[in-house]
Amino acid sequence: MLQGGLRGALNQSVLEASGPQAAKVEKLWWFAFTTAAIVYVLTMAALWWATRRARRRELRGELLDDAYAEPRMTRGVTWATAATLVILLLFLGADLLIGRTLSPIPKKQPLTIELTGHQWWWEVQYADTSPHGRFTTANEIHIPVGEPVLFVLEATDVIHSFWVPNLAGKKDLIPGYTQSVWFQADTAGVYRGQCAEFCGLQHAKMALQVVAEPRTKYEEWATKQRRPAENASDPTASRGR
Amino acid sequence: MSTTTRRTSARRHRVIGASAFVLLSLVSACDREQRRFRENPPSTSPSNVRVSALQPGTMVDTTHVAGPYDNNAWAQSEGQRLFGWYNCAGCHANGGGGMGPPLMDDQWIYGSSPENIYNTIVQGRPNGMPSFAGKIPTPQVWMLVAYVRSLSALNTTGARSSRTDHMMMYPGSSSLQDPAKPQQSFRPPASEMP
Amino acid sequence: MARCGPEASCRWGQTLTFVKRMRFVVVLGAFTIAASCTREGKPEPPREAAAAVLPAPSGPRATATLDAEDGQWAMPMKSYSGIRYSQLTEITPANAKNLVPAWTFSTSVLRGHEEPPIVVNNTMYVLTPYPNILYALDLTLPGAPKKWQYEPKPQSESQGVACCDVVNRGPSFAEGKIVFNTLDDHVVAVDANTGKEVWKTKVGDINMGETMTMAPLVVKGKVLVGNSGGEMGVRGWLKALDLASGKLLWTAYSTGPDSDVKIGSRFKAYYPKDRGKDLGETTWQGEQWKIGGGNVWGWLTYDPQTNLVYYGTANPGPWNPDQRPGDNKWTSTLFARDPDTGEAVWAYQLSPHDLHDYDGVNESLLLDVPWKGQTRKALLHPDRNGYVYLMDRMTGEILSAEPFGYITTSRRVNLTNGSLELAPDKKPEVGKVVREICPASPGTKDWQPSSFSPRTGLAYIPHQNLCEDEEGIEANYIAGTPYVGMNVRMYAGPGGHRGELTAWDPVAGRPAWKLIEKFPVWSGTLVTASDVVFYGTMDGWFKAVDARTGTPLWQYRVGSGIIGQPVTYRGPDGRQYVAVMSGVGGWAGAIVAGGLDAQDSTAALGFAAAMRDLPDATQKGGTLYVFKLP
Repeated sequence: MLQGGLRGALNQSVLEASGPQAAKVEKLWWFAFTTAAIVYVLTMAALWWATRRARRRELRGELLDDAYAEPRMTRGVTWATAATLVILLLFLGADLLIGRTLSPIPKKQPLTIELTGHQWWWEVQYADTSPHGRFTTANEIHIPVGEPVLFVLEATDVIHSFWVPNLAGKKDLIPGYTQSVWFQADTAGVYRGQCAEFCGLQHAKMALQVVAEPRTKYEEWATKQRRPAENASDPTASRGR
Repeated sequence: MSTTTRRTSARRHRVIGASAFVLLSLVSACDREQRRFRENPPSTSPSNVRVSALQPGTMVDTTHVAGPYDNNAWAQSEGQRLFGWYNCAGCHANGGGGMGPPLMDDQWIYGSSPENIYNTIVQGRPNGMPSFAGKIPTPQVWMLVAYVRSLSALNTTGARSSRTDHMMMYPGSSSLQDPAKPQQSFRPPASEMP
Repeated sequence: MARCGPEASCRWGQTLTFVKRMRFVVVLGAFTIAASCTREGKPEPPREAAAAVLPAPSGPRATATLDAEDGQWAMPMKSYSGIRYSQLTEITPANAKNLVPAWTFSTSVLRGHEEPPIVVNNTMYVLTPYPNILYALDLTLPGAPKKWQYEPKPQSESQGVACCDVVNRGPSFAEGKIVFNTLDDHVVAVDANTGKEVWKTKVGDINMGETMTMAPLVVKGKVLVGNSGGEMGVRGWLKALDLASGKLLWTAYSTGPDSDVKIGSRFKAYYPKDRGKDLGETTWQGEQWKIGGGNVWGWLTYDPQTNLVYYGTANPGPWNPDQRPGDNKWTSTLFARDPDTGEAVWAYQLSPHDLHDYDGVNESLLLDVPWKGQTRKALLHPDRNGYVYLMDRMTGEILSAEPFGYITTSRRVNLTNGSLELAPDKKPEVGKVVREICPASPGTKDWQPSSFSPRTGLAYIPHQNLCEDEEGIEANYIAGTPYVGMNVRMYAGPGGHRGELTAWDPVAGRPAWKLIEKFPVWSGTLVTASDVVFYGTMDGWFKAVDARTGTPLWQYRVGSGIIGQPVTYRGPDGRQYVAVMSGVGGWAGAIVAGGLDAQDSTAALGFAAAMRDLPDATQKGGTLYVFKLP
């Protein structure tokens, strides 16, 4: 699984986007980081300059009194407000430009997966036009690479949140309320996801795996899942059935 | 108030506050709130657990086992969850009975003491109670015992599990109407429903 | 704002300024409230039975094929057509008020007595609920003393897997043997004269949750039996055993591939929705059909001319529909089968993907109706879902489907494609309480069988008037334990009464007359050629009414509520006798028979909540009553 350009689950990270939705999130993250970094550097520079100038003035023996500081302060406040507004507008523009992850799924009849959050596991039901084609797995999702997949999110007990950082942002699973989210994996690999909303004692261990594989391998896996479970070969296994 | 009185009053408040804090910490260590995850409650009932109150000859003391979770709130709440999980609710409903007898009334065919209920669950009973030996782990059986006893208020009410949000009990009735004067059927307003 | 002095104008000015500043918030708030008020859409208009109209004396009338009257009652339905019609005429509307008890017999069992006594060769056979004791009473001697009794001794554990009281719906007589089912899945044949067991065959397993409560039908030397267990995740079937030896001849399952359901080359479903290959498998997710229900615990009727057996299958399991996506064939389905081989000739699914436990097991009375200028061989099937279906029994075509009770769960039965058009707002879901589901889970009519009189052309349908609230919960399948997944709470329907007796005109598709009862009418009905209808109530009144108009003629208070099937026969002295079991119970009477606690509204699958006053009205009992004219 870790060969041939595939990634391991160890690379769970927002900064290693493997799909267009995660890529958008990553871009937004970098934009925010860059802007904040610039503002931070400029603020620190201004602070350093102010301390340097005050020190210089002190050494020169000039007095600083209120009457002298005020006009400068007014100008400073105006400049700061203007700069804040500009940055806010920039963020708004960036957000609209980068696009929302809630845009309608660009595929008719996509692969639909009904994800139900339980305490503390993920029930994954693959929908199908015929009820006989449906099957259920737990905590493990396989999707074909390069195709958008629609997830229908529900919860049975408390609020959970579906988060696979490499592939998409977070989306809550709320009891009594059905939501949907879609995303696409562009690179084959195994991606680790986890529950992102505190849901009880085992919340930290409520992880899941998304395995993105080529269409043919996905179909093989799905067909195998639809077959009835194999008969248990030894007594211990049959007790567990 | 004089300064002296204010200082004394403040000091008194501090004393009261400190003692309250100490008392609270003592109380919070009580059985009701403990969650014990790795436990080994008694797995086999003592051999002379009796189901009948009749004893030939002189009466001998009957062994009683205190249910290990009779005062524990978390265990009784778990018992409530397991009651539905193991399909107990399928035969006994939410205490009212159905295929099986009610558990919330005061009639106990096979005894209401913790060891009797434990044996009933584990051994099964001839008139239809299945035997769950080997199917339900022992600590969970004791949790169910505690919950079943709480259904008819045999346990201290302090540790009873609270009512869930499920549609369960509704004391008012919609069908007690005088047949001589049939009225529009009373359906309780939705806002009143549990 | 600066503080105001005592001047009023300052205060007023400040208030105005405040309101002006807040106007945006106020307008926004008003919009929000208005928007939330219109959140709920308009509810679906419910369906109701048409107003009762007595049929014209010379109008078109349904009829039925009659056997010669021999004064006996050899099987619970009396005849293969299921119409429970007796041609004895001694008891008439004029003299019925004089009926008096002739003798009684205690069964020594205190559970629900749904069975009829059957009468063959001047012997009366009484089969009790668990422990299914079979008594033979000698009618030629005064007081009808017991000739013998046979005890099959069923396993006592079987009481723990019977959903709806440990009832039995009766034995049948055929070729010198009495055949019946026991609660623990044995079919027994006993010599009718001596009471010796001829054979006893085990056909099911209580550890899978299976029990048997239905009355077998003996057709051409074959004993047809079906299982119970739709609330236990049991796969339903109909089996045929050889009457002489008890050997199993064939099994027709209600779910699974076509080979199991015995759908073969002769099968032709009338409606496209019921056509396809292996629908008993593909309309289920994965292997859920193996625990899917579809049990056969109701009535079987038989047409000797076409050689077809008609019966319905029960609800799918679990009750929680979200756990079993798909149409769930062939549950809640009417089947027509060839009894020689078991193969299906046609099928119609009454309630696809059933949401409310609407079993399809009710009786199909075999009638001939004048329909649009032709005489059609039809069947009349009053279903749990609230509609009386009149269908062509050769093909499965629906001629009419009209409501006979109050319905909120569906709009109508579409006669073009045969589909049941559901109301979208009555679907139960996990964690959500859906209210005013009418009819409730016992349906507008449950197992209690109707009768039909070819003289009046009316069917006499005993039924109930109940609605319910449902809440879905997740069900776990553990073999041998209930597999339901629903909290239910029932209550009386519109009008406040819980029971009705409807005289139904099959041709007009409407009631002719109706009687209102306080409790569900859980007993069967019987009609005679002198136009007298007999039925019993759950608080213990055995009643006779006029078959033409419904006018009450006579009633007698028996020891315990009546949920059994009344019969009438000619005794050795040539007199007409009417007999019925008293002993309340069944699903409706579980609160008494089981001593349940109605503080919990979900007890007895919700029925206890609707029957809180039953323990005040009647007690447990187990007595046979026989009446005659003095």
